[in-house]
Amino acid sequence: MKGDDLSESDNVVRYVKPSLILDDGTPEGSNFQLRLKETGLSVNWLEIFGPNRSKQLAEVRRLFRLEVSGNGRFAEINVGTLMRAVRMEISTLRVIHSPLEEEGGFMADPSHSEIVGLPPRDSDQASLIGDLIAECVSDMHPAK
Amino acid sequence: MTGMWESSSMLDQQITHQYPIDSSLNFNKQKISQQWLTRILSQIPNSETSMQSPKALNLLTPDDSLTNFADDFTNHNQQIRLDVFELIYKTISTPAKHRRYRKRIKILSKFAEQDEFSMNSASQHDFWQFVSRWPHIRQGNLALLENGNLRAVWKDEQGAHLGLQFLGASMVQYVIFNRRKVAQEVSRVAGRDTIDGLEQQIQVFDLNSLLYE
Repeated sequence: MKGDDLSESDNVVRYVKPSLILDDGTPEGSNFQLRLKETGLSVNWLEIFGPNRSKQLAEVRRLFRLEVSGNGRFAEINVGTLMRAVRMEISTLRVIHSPLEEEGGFMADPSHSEIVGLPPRDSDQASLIGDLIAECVSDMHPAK
Repeated sequence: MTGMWESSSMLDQQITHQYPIDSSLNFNKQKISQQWLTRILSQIPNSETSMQSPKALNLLTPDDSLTNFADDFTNHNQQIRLDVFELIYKTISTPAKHRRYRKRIKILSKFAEQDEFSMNSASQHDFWQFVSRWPHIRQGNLALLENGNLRAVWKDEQGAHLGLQFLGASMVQYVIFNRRKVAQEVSRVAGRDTIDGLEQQIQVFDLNSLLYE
Protein backbone atom coordinates (compact mmCIF):
# COMPACT_ATOMS: atom_id res chain seq x y z
CA MET A 1 0.00 0.00 0.00
CA LYS A 2 1.24 3.52 -0.80
CA GLY A 3 3.34 4.93 2.04
CA ASP A 4 4.14 1.57 3.62
CA ASP A 5 7.71 0.88 4.62
CA LEU A 6 9.49 -1.81 2.60
CA SER A 7 10.77 -4.69 4.71
CA GLU A 8 14.44 -5.29 5.48
CA SER A 9 14.53 -8.35 3.25
CA ASP A 10 13.39 -6.33 0.22
CA ASN A 11 15.70 -5.03 -2.48
CA VAL A 12 15.50 -1.88 -4.58
CA VAL A 13 17.35 -0.54 -7.62
CA ARG A 14 18.22 3.03 -8.58
CA TYR A 15 19.31 4.20 -12.02
CA VAL A 16 22.91 5.45 -12.26
CA LYS A 17 23.94 7.39 -15.33
CA PRO A 18 27.37 6.78 -16.90
CA SER A 19 29.08 9.97 -15.68
CA LEU A 20 28.37 8.87 -12.11
CA ILE A 21 29.79 5.38 -12.43
CA LEU A 22 33.34 5.25 -11.12
CA ASP A 23 36.25 3.58 -12.94
CA ASP A 24 35.86 0.52 -10.73
CA GLY A 25 32.23 0.09 -11.80
CA THR A 26 30.70 1.24 -8.52
CA PRO A 27 28.28 4.16 -8.25
CA GLU A 28 29.42 7.60 -7.13
CA GLY A 29 27.74 8.76 -3.92
CA SER A 30 26.04 11.81 -5.41
CA ASN A 31 23.62 9.39 -7.12
CA PHE A 32 22.06 9.11 -3.72
CA GLN A 33 21.54 12.78 -2.97
CA LEU A 34 18.29 14.63 -3.45
CA ARG A 35 17.97 16.81 -6.53
CA LEU A 36 16.19 20.15 -6.83
CA LYS A 37 12.57 19.97 -5.61
CA GLU A 38 12.91 16.29 -4.66
CA THR A 39 11.74 15.05 -1.28
CA GLY A 40 12.75 11.44 -1.86
CA LEU A 41 15.07 9.36 -4.02
CA SER A 42 13.22 7.34 -6.62
CA VAL A 43 13.95 3.62 -6.51
CA ASN A 44 12.21 0.50 -7.79
CA TRP A 45 11.16 -2.33 -5.50
CA LEU A 46 12.18 -5.60 -7.11
CA GLU A 47 10.19 -8.19 -5.14
CA ILE A 48 6.86 -6.74 -6.22
CA PHE A 49 7.47 -8.46 -9.57
CA GLY A 50 7.90 -11.92 -8.02
CA PRO A 51 10.95 -13.91 -6.94
CA ASN A 52 12.89 -14.16 -10.22
CA ARG A 53 15.64 -11.50 -10.43
CA SER A 54 15.82 -11.49 -14.23
CA LYS A 55 12.09 -10.99 -14.49
CA GLN A 56 12.14 -8.30 -11.81
CA LEU A 57 14.79 -6.33 -13.69
CA ALA A 58 13.03 -6.81 -17.04
CA GLU A 59 9.87 -5.30 -15.55
CA VAL A 60 11.77 -2.38 -14.03
CA ARG A 61 13.35 -1.67 -17.44
CA ARG A 62 9.99 -1.95 -19.21
CA LEU A 63 8.20 0.46 -16.91
CA PHE A 64 11.05 2.90 -16.24
CA ARG A 65 10.02 6.45 -17.20
CA LEU A 66 13.37 8.19 -17.67
CA GLU A 67 15.53 7.85 -20.75
CA VAL A 68 18.39 5.53 -19.91
CA SER A 69 21.82 5.25 -21.50
CA GLY A 70 23.26 1.99 -22.80
CA ASN A 71 26.18 2.53 -20.42
CA GLY A 72 23.90 3.30 -17.48
CA ARG A 73 23.30 0.82 -14.68
CA PHE A 74 20.73 -0.06 -12.05
CA ALA A 75 22.36 -0.14 -8.61
CA GLU A 76 20.85 -2.81 -6.35
CA ILE A 77 20.54 -2.17 -2.61
CA ASN A 78 19.10 -4.32 0.14
CA VAL A 79 16.76 -2.29 2.31
CA GLY A 80 17.98 -3.86 5.58
CA THR A 81 21.63 -3.21 4.72
CA LEU A 82 20.76 0.37 3.88
CA MET A 83 18.82 0.98 7.09
CA ARG A 84 21.51 -0.51 9.32
CA ALA A 85 24.28 1.49 7.64
CA VAL A 86 22.59 4.85 7.35
CA ARG A 87 20.54 4.95 10.54
CA MET A 88 23.82 5.25 12.46
CA GLU A 89 24.05 8.70 10.89
CA ILE A 90 20.41 9.77 10.46
CA SER A 91 17.40 8.32 12.23
CA THR A 92 14.84 9.79 9.80
CA LEU A 93 15.59 7.44 6.91
CA ARG A 94 12.75 5.31 5.50
CA VAL A 95 12.17 3.38 2.28
CA ILE A 96 8.49 3.67 1.38
CA HIS A 97 6.33 2.24 -1.35
CA SER A 98 5.12 4.97 -3.71
CA PRO A 99 3.55 3.35 -6.80
CA LEU A 100 2.99 5.52 -9.86
CA GLU A 101 -0.33 5.57 -11.62
CA GLU A 102 -0.74 5.54 -15.37
CA GLU A 103 -0.33 9.07 -16.72
CA GLY A 104 0.86 11.04 -19.76
CA GLY A 105 1.41 7.98 -21.90
CA PHE A 106 3.36 6.16 -19.19
CA MET A 107 2.12 2.85 -17.84
CA ALA A 108 1.49 2.45 -14.13
CA ASP A 109 4.62 1.43 -12.20
CA PRO A 110 3.77 -0.57 -9.08
CA SER A 111 7.46 -0.91 -8.12
CA HIS A 112 8.17 2.79 -7.66
CA SER A 113 9.31 3.58 -4.14
CA GLU A 114 11.24 6.34 -2.43
CA ILE A 115 14.06 6.71 0.04
CA VAL A 116 12.95 9.58 2.27
CA GLY A 117 14.34 11.42 5.28
CA LEU A 118 17.58 12.35 3.55
CA PRO A 119 19.56 15.54 4.29
CA PRO A 120 19.07 18.66 2.14
CA ARG A 121 20.81 18.60 -1.25
CA ASP A 122 24.27 20.13 -1.59
CA SER A 123 24.94 19.86 2.13
CA ASP A 124 28.08 18.21 3.45
CA GLN A 125 25.92 15.68 5.28
CA ALA A 126 24.14 14.83 2.02
CA SER A 127 27.53 13.95 0.50
CA LEU A 128 28.41 11.79 3.47
CA ILE A 129 25.09 9.95 3.40
CA GLY A 130 25.33 9.58 -0.39
CA ASP A 131 28.73 7.89 -0.07
CA LEU A 132 27.40 5.70 2.71
CA ILE A 133 24.45 4.54 0.59
CA ALA A 134 26.81 3.90 -2.35
CA GLU A 135 28.73 1.50 -0.12
CA CYS A 136 25.52 -0.49 0.41
CA VAL A 137 25.19 -1.29 -3.31
CA SER A 138 25.46 -5.04 -3.78
CA ASP A 139 25.23 -5.28 -7.56
CA MET A 140 25.12 -3.19 -10.72
CA HIS A 141 22.80 -4.31 -13.53
CA PRO A 142 22.72 -3.06 -17.14
CA ALA A 143 20.03 -0.43 -17.60
CA LYS A 144 19.15 -1.70 -21.08
CA MET B 1 57.07 3.05 6.04
CA THR B 2 60.80 2.56 6.37
CA GLY B 3 63.57 5.07 6.44
CA MET B 4 64.52 3.90 2.98
CA TRP B 5 61.09 4.87 1.68
CA GLU B 6 61.26 8.33 3.18
CA SER B 7 64.68 8.80 1.70
CA SER B 8 63.50 7.69 -1.74
CA SER B 9 60.47 9.92 -1.51
CA MET B 10 62.61 12.98 -0.85
CA LEU B 11 64.95 12.08 -3.66
CA ASP B 12 62.07 11.45 -5.99
CA GLN B 13 60.66 14.88 -5.26
CA GLN B 14 64.05 16.33 -5.97
CA ILE B 15 64.24 14.46 -9.27
CA THR B 16 60.73 15.47 -10.23
CA HIS B 17 61.57 19.10 -9.73
CA GLN B 18 65.00 19.02 -11.28
CA TYR B 19 64.43 16.58 -14.11
CA PRO B 20 60.84 16.68 -15.30
CA ILE B 21 60.20 13.55 -17.29
CA ASP B 22 58.53 13.58 -20.67
CA SER B 23 54.94 12.42 -20.18
CA SER B 24 55.24 10.14 -23.22
CA LEU B 25 57.97 8.13 -21.52
CA ASN B 26 57.43 4.41 -21.39
CA PHE B 27 59.64 2.03 -19.58
CA ASN B 28 61.57 0.49 -22.42
CA LYS B 29 65.05 0.63 -23.73
CA GLN B 30 64.25 2.72 -26.77
CA LYS B 31 62.80 5.58 -24.82
CA ILE B 32 64.97 5.75 -21.74
CA SER B 33 68.03 7.80 -22.37
CA GLN B 34 71.25 6.97 -20.69
CA GLN B 35 71.37 10.52 -19.44
CA TRP B 36 68.02 10.13 -17.72
CA LEU B 37 68.99 6.86 -16.11
CA THR B 38 72.28 8.31 -14.95
CA ARG B 39 70.45 11.19 -13.33
CA ILE B 40 68.13 8.85 -11.47
CA LEU B 41 70.84 6.51 -10.32
CA SER B 42 73.13 9.30 -9.27
CA GLN B 43 70.56 10.33 -6.69
CA ILE B 44 70.87 7.08 -4.78
CA PRO B 45 73.13 7.58 -1.79
CA ASN B 46 75.97 5.25 -0.93
CA SER B 47 75.67 3.15 -4.03
CA GLU B 48 77.96 2.15 -6.82
CA THR B 49 75.10 2.24 -9.30
CA SER B 50 75.64 5.80 -10.49
CA MET B 51 78.79 4.58 -12.17
CA GLN B 52 77.01 1.70 -13.90
CA SER B 53 74.22 3.21 -15.93
CA PRO B 54 75.65 2.05 -19.29
CA LYS B 55 75.66 -1.48 -17.89
CA ALA B 56 72.11 -1.00 -16.71
CA LEU B 57 70.91 0.00 -20.15
CA ASN B 58 72.50 -3.07 -21.66
CA LEU B 59 70.69 -5.27 -19.18
CA LEU B 60 67.34 -3.76 -20.06
CA THR B 61 65.45 -5.55 -22.82
CA PRO B 62 62.72 -3.74 -24.74
CA ASP B 63 59.87 -5.32 -22.80
CA ASP B 64 61.68 -5.85 -19.53
CA SER B 65 59.66 -5.39 -16.39
CA LEU B 66 60.78 -2.88 -13.86
CA THR B 67 61.08 -5.58 -11.21
CA ASN B 68 63.30 -7.73 -13.40
CA PHE B 69 65.39 -4.76 -14.27
CA ALA B 70 65.89 -3.82 -10.64
CA ASP B 71 66.69 -7.44 -9.80
CA ASP B 72 69.20 -7.87 -12.61
CA PHE B 73 70.91 -4.64 -12.02
CA THR B 74 71.20 -4.56 -8.27
CA ASN B 75 70.82 -8.12 -7.05
CA HIS B 76 73.93 -7.75 -4.96
CA ASN B 77 72.27 -5.28 -2.66
CA GLN B 78 68.65 -5.43 -1.53
CA GLN B 79 68.65 -1.91 -0.20
CA ILE B 80 69.86 -0.46 -3.48
CA ARG B 81 67.43 -2.67 -5.40
CA LEU B 82 64.53 -1.19 -3.47
CA ASP B 83 65.82 2.32 -3.91
CA VAL B 84 66.18 1.85 -7.66
CA PHE B 85 62.74 0.31 -7.94
CA GLU B 86 61.04 3.04 -5.95
CA LEU B 87 62.75 5.87 -7.73
CA ILE B 88 62.18 4.67 -11.26
CA TYR B 89 58.66 3.43 -10.63
CA LYS B 90 57.51 6.61 -9.00
CA THR B 91 59.16 8.82 -11.56
CA ILE B 92 57.65 7.09 -14.57
CA SER B 93 54.28 6.32 -12.99
CA THR B 94 53.34 9.92 -12.27
CA PRO B 95 52.90 10.98 -15.91
CA ALA B 96 51.14 7.69 -16.59
CA LYS B 97 48.59 8.54 -13.91
CA HIS B 98 48.12 11.95 -15.47
CA ARG B 99 47.50 10.36 -18.86
CA ARG B 100 44.85 8.10 -17.34
CA TYR B 101 43.21 11.07 -15.63
CA ARG B 102 43.18 13.04 -18.88
CA LYS B 103 41.57 10.11 -20.69
CA ARG B 104 38.94 9.74 -17.98
CA ILE B 105 38.16 13.48 -18.01
CA LYS B 106 37.70 13.35 -21.77
CA ILE B 107 35.19 10.52 -21.39
CA LEU B 108 33.37 12.38 -18.61
CA SER B 109 33.20 15.53 -20.78
CA LYS B 110 31.48 13.50 -23.50
CA PHE B 111 28.94 12.17 -20.99
CA ALA B 112 28.32 15.76 -19.88
CA GLU B 113 27.71 16.86 -23.47
CA GLN B 114 25.20 14.04 -23.92
CA ASP B 115 23.38 15.20 -20.79
CA GLU B 116 23.58 18.84 -21.91
CA PHE B 117 25.77 20.26 -19.20
CA SER B 118 29.45 21.11 -19.08
CA MET B 119 32.37 20.47 -16.82
CA ASN B 120 33.22 23.30 -14.43
CA SER B 121 36.63 24.55 -15.56
CA ALA B 122 37.43 25.93 -12.10
CA SER B 123 36.81 22.47 -10.63
CA GLN B 124 39.03 20.86 -13.25
CA HIS B 125 41.76 23.42 -12.56
CA ASP B 126 41.64 22.62 -8.86
CA PHE B 127 41.77 18.89 -9.55
CA TRP B 128 44.99 19.29 -11.54
CA GLN B 129 46.37 21.56 -8.84
CA PHE B 130 45.68 18.78 -6.33
CA VAL B 131 47.28 15.96 -8.34
CA SER B 132 50.28 18.13 -9.17
CA ARG B 133 50.77 19.01 -5.56
CA TRP B 134 50.63 15.36 -4.43
CA PRO B 135 51.92 13.48 -7.48
CA HIS B 136 52.50 10.23 -5.63
CA ILE B 137 48.97 9.75 -4.36
CA ARG B 138 47.41 6.54 -5.62
CA GLN B 139 45.13 6.93 -8.64
CA GLY B 140 41.63 7.94 -7.58
CA ASN B 141 38.27 7.15 -9.17
CA LEU B 142 36.88 10.17 -10.99
CA ALA B 143 33.24 11.07 -11.55
CA LEU B 144 31.50 14.15 -12.92
CA LEU B 145 28.70 15.51 -10.79
CA GLU B 146 25.56 17.10 -12.19
CA ASN B 147 26.76 20.54 -11.04
CA GLY B 148 29.75 20.13 -13.38
CA ASN B 149 32.29 19.52 -10.61
CA LEU B 150 34.82 16.71 -10.64
CA ARG B 151 34.83 14.36 -7.68
CA ALA B 152 37.64 11.93 -6.89
CA VAL B 153 37.14 8.92 -4.63
CA TRP B 154 39.62 6.58 -2.97
CA LYS B 155 38.49 3.55 -0.97
CA ASP B 156 39.95 0.34 0.38
CA GLU B 157 38.70 -3.00 1.62
CA GLN B 158 39.18 -2.01 5.25
CA GLY B 159 36.44 0.61 4.97
CA ALA B 160 38.65 3.68 4.56
CA HIS B 161 37.20 6.18 2.13
CA LEU B 162 38.04 9.66 0.90
CA GLY B 163 35.77 11.58 -1.47
CA LEU B 164 36.85 14.99 -2.73
CA GLN B 165 34.59 17.30 -4.69
CA PHE B 166 36.60 20.08 -6.31
CA LEU B 167 34.45 23.14 -5.82
CA GLY B 168 36.65 25.75 -7.55
CA ALA B 169 38.44 28.70 -5.89
CA SER B 170 40.86 26.16 -4.33
CA MET B 171 38.12 24.72 -2.13
CA VAL B 172 37.21 21.06 -1.71
CA GLN B 173 34.32 19.29 -0.06
CA TYR B 174 35.57 16.14 1.60
CA VAL B 175 33.94 12.98 2.91
CA ILE B 176 36.15 10.75 5.05
CA PHE B 177 35.42 7.29 6.47
CA ASN B 178 38.09 5.60 8.50
CA ARG B 179 38.15 2.65 10.85
CA ARG B 180 39.75 3.37 14.20
CA LYS B 181 42.53 0.93 14.92
CA VAL B 182 41.66 0.43 18.59
CA ALA B 183 37.88 0.07 18.75
CA GLN B 184 37.38 -0.92 15.08
CA GLU B 185 34.66 1.70 14.94
CA VAL B 186 34.23 3.71 11.76
CA SER B 187 34.59 7.44 12.11
CA ARG B 188 32.86 9.51 9.45
CA VAL B 189 33.14 13.19 8.73
CA ALA B 190 32.30 15.62 5.93
CA GLY B 191 33.25 19.24 5.49
CA ARG B 192 34.94 21.84 3.36
CA ASP B 193 38.51 23.05 3.35
CA THR B 194 41.09 24.62 1.11
CA ILE B 195 43.30 22.34 -0.96
CA ASP B 196 46.15 23.43 1.31
CA GLY B 197 44.16 22.63 4.45
CA LEU B 198 43.27 19.19 3.14
CA GLU B 199 46.71 17.89 3.99
CA GLN B 200 45.93 18.36 7.67
CA GLN B 201 42.66 16.42 7.35
CA ILE B 202 44.54 13.55 5.69
CA GLN B 203 47.01 13.47 8.55
CA VAL B 204 44.36 13.75 11.28
CA PHE B 205 42.37 10.86 9.83
CA ASP B 206 45.50 8.83 9.10
CA LEU B 207 44.68 8.23 5.46
CA ASN B 208 48.25 7.68 4.28
CA SER B 209 47.80 3.95 3.74
CA LEU B 210 44.68 4.65 1.65
CA LEU B 211 46.32 7.31 -0.49
CA TYR B 212 49.89 6.17 -0.93
CA GLU B 213 51.17 3.05 -2.67
